[in-house]
Amino acid sequence: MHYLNDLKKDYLKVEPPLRLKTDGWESILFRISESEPVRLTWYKSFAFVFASILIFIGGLFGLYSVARASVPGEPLYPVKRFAEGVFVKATGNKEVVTQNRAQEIVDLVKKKETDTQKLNETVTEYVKAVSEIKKVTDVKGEQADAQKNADFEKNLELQHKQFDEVSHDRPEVRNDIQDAIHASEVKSSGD
Amino acid sequence: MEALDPEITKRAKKGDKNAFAEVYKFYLSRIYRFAFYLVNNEALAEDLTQEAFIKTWNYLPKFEESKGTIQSLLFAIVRNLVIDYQRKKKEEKISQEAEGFIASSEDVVEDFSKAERIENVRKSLSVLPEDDREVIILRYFEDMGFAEISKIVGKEEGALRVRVHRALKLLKNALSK
Repeated sequence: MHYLNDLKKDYLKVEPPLRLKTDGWESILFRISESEPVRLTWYKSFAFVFASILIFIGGLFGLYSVARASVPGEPLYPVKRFAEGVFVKATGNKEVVTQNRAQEIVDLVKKKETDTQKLNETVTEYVKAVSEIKKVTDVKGEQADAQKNADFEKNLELQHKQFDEVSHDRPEVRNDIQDAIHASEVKSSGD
Repeated sequence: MEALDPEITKRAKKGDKNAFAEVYKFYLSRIYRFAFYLVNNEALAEDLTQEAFIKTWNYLPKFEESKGTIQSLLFAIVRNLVIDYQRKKKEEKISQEAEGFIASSEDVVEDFSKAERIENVRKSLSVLPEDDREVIILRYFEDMGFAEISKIVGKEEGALRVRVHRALKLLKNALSK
C-alpha cells in the first residue's frame, strides 16, 4: 500500500501554527489554572490549616489587645477576664490580677460617669487578690523569693500612688476606693 | 510511533501541570493534524486542539486506565469536539476549498507546496465517507491499532476492520485513476 505511505508523508507534513507551539501551553495553563477546583495536596492542606490557625491565633491576640484596656461593664471585658484566668492557671502568677484590678479602678474613677457598683466590685476583687498574695508571702517567710516580694511591693506602691492621685482629682469617689488605698499600703520594715 | 512515558501520564493524572505540559508538547502536532483534516480550517483546528487539551486535563483525574490510554482519550475528545462543531454548522465536504487557510509566510514556494500537499490528502480522502476517513487517518497515518481506534470512535473492532477494508478498496480505485 505504497499509495497510503505517500499520502501519510503528506499528512504528516501538516504542523500546528508556530504560535501554538510557542504560546499554546501558556494559554492552556492560564485557562486550567483559572478554572481548576481546589486540588489540595497534603502539604498544601497542611499549609492551609497552619495558616488558618495562625490567622485565628492572630485574631485572638488582636481581640485580646483591644480587650486589655476594657473595664467592667464593657463588651470585651469578659474576654479580658477569660484571658486573665487562662494566664493565672497556666503560670500560677496571681499578681496579674492585682495589676489588672488596680488599673480598672483607676480607669473607672477617671470615667465621667462612674458606675459605683462596678467600682465597688472591682475594689473588692483587688483587695482580695492583694490579701491572697500577701498571705502566701507571709507563709513562705524568710524562704520567700526576696526579689519577687520586692517587685510586688514596688507595684503596690505604684498602685497606691495612682489611687491617691485619681481620688484627689475626684474626691467624691475616694470613699469608694478607700479599701483599695489601704490594701495597697506597703508596711515599712520598721512596723 | 514513539510512545509517551507512562510515568508522565500518571503524574498528569494526579494534577501535575508540568507533566501535562509534556503531554501537550508530545501530542500537539498529532491532535492538531487530526482536527485539521476533519474540519479543513486552520483557525478552527487550532481552537479545537486547545479545547481538547483543556477538556482532557479536566477529565483526566476521573479517567480509568481500563478505558484506554491518554492518546485515545485525546483523540476521542477532539473527535467529539469536531462532531459538536459539525452539528452546529453545515457539514462541508472534504473536497471543498479549505476555509481560512491563509498564506502567512512570505515564502510563496513553501506555501504553495504545503497547500498542494494538504490538497492532495484532502482530495484522496474525499472519496471516503466521513466515518471511514477518520478511521483511515487513525489506522494508517496515526499508526493506531484497532483496539485503540475502537475506544476512540466507539465502534466494535470487527466493524472497524470491515470498514477499513472497504475504505481501502475505495481509495485504491480512486488513486489508481
